[in-house]
Amino acid sequence: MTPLFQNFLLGHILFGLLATVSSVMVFLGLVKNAGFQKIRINSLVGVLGFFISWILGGYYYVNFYGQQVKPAIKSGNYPWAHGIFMETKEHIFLFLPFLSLVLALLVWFLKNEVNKNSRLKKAGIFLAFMIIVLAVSVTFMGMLISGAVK
Amino acid sequence: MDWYSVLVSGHIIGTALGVGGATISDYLFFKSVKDGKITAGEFSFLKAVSKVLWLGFLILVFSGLGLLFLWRLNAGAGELVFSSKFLAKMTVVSIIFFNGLLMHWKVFPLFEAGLNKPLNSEGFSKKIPLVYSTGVISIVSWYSVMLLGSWREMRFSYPVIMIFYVFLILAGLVMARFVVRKIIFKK
Amino acid sequence: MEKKIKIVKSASLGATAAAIFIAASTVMAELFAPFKDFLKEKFSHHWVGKSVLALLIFLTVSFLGYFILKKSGIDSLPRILLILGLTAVFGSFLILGFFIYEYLK
Repeated sequence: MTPLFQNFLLGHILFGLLATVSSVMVFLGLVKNAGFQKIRINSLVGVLGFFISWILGGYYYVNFYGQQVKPAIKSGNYPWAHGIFMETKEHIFLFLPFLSLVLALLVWFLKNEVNKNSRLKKAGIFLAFMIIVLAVSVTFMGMLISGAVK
Repeated sequence: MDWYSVLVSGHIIGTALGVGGATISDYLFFKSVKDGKITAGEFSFLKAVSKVLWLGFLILVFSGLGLLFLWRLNAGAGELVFSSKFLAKMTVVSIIFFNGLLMHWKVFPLFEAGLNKPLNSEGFSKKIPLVYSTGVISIVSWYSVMLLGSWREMRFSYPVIMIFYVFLILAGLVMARFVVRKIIFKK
Repeated sequence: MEKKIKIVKSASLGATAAAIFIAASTVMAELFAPFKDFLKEKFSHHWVGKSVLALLIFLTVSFLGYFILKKSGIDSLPRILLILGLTAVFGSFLILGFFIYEYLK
């Protein structure tokens, strides 16, 4: 793997992790009624993180994974790592930037309403939790895929 | 110092902070409730320790993924990733994570609402099983993760490791229930 | 305030539409080769095509939603957010289940 693709893969992982951590901070901020400044900043980091991870991961996937990694996995001991988990991961990931953008818009534009309206707050918490669950799932799938490369 | 050494050191530090934090947190909790209530000062300590725990968890995750990335680049990580020990470790790490979220969502607000109030009140006593369950899961999980990481010769299968883990959790829950009844409810 | 509520609502609808498209196009591309070929042809890679189209659908539905949505208060927003979250979850299970089925077939 050339340094360019190494950096793209590493960047994809780091920005994805950063976005996940930020989403956790938004979730905890909402459940603990933390200051909205912190929640807002974290929601923004989450959106940016997922979008950057999308671009970096996409570049790596289209230009390197398909040609070099996928054949290696499919001919190796764990072909299902591509057939099931990579195919799933590359599509489930696409949900994350949109979900995190909606969450960010919610906490930026409607912070007072989220504070006052318990139904709206619960919905925000649920959305943040869904982002976390999907992001963690995608991370585990990525680990399995990495492990399957000969 | 090469990246591998940096990441391994980070992984050890993360584990130490997590195991230490979980131990102190549980010890502080039982110490706090001896007088039948949690004071603002005691709760403040618990929150501080919780922050250290989360920091440890973050360091653990980042360094762990860093190590996996290094293995992926250099020698391939198949033997590691698909070993029963690693899969069990990842399962328990996920449990630590979601248990931590649950603690902050449900348990800490409970403490905050009940500061300086008797813990054997009807309202709090109904929720006590949640409190000690999350504590038991936290401490058993952190020690399990440490053991799984350090016990090189372990060759048990994934189901065997998980059965043993669940058994430890159940044993912990029984013990915690007994201790809580003795301390808080003085039965 | 009305404008802010509409922005969040329309973005939620746009995200829900994008999520439905992602799940549906994933399954469709595997079952109907011409669709996958179309994506490859227009966007150089089927996944890039799905990404770009999902973004376009999000922007279009959000934009249209902002102007079409009638003056309604905040009451319906929690339900819209819930639907968005559930759509993403069900979409994920659909995608995972589909690829497990395809692999084992």
